[in-house]
Amino acid sequence: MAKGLTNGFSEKQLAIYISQYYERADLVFRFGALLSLSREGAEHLTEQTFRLLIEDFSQVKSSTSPEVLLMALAWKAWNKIKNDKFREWSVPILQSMKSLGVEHRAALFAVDIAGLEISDSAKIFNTTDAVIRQMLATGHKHLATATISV
Amino acid sequence: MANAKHELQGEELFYGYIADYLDGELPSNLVKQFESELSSRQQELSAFQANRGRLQSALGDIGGSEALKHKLRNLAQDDQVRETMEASEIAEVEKAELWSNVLRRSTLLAIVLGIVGVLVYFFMPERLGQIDIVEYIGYEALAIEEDPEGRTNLPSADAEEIRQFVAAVPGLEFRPTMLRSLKGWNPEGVSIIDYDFMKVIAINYTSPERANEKLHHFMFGGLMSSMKYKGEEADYRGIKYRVYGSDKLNLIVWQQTPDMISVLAGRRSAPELAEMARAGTPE
Repeated sequence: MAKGLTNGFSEKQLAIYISQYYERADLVFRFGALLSLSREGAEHLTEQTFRLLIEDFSQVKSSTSPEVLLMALAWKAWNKIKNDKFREWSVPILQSMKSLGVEHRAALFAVDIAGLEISDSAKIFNTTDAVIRQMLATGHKHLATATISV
Repeated sequence: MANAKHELQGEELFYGYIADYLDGELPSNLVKQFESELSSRQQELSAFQANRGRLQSALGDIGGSEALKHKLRNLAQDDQVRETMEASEIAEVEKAELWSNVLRRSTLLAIVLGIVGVLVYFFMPERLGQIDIVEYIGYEALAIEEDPEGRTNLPSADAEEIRQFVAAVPGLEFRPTMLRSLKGWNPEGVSIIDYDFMKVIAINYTSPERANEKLHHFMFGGLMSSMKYKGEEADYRGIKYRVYGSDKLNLIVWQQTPDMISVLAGRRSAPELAEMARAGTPE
């Protein structure tokens, strides 16, 4: 029976997509919010991330961590849209993070918000553990010394 | 991202591993270095801990819009088709539910009817056993004698007329069979007693030779074996009868026809009544 599947999805793939990825859309959205400091930017990043996911969904292995793959695709999507202009989101916590560099915010999100390992974060950002640790050091110092509003 | 230029030292090491320290995951080879930095940075440690919590909490409170989720879902499954399918599935579930309800109610109805049927089956044969019909008949006989006009449906001395009348009584469970002519006893009418549970027909006789003494032949449907009775049955020339008595009347009961029980009630003795029953019933 036709299930209205699009993009060449099989029923099994649809089930995986929904349960493993679609249900984690908010993770990408929050990442996008912290990177772009914009709701508009977060929504755009999320959509672009999922479009990248769909493009090669048949290649996704069941052993792949959905969080790591989504974050990696989101970073890839970010590098495509980072020069776009988005309206700022007047959420105090995001405003408090504005003075921190976007790469530092990215590392901070991956490790302290998404709870990923340093090594996974390094793969996501295509860099080394040491760089991630340095990025974290800067991000943590910001959290320890800046005035953070909520 | 940029490349790492150096190993973390001092303040950088402190902030680089502050989260590991708070989470109890600080590598053992860094403990000494970290703690030496920590001694002068307790305030920053507390501030970091609080602000990290605030950031986690604030980001946890935001999420994509429904429109975005809709768009993401549509990347894998067409929305309209899915909604149509869901509506179709709901309709199927409702249809199945309807049939399920019909089946459930039918089953319940069948069970109730079955129970009623079983009760009726077990109750009916015992009907005469549960009700002391002979006692009622005893009272009826006296009542007919006290108020013959009020209790007689057909006043008549004509046996044929009585026979025809009795045969036409509606709603009987048996075919009424009159006694043959009883010597010295003249019919004087018919009484129909309509209980909720059965109809009883009484043919009333009188004997001018015995100072207009009364005799009543009651007929009703059923089997004598279903009636309550503690004594032994007597037998008078093939008439197996039971004797019931009161201070005013004697009654004998016998199975006159396969579907009809008869009671003769009068002031004669039980053997005399049995003799009359015998005389009035073809052998």
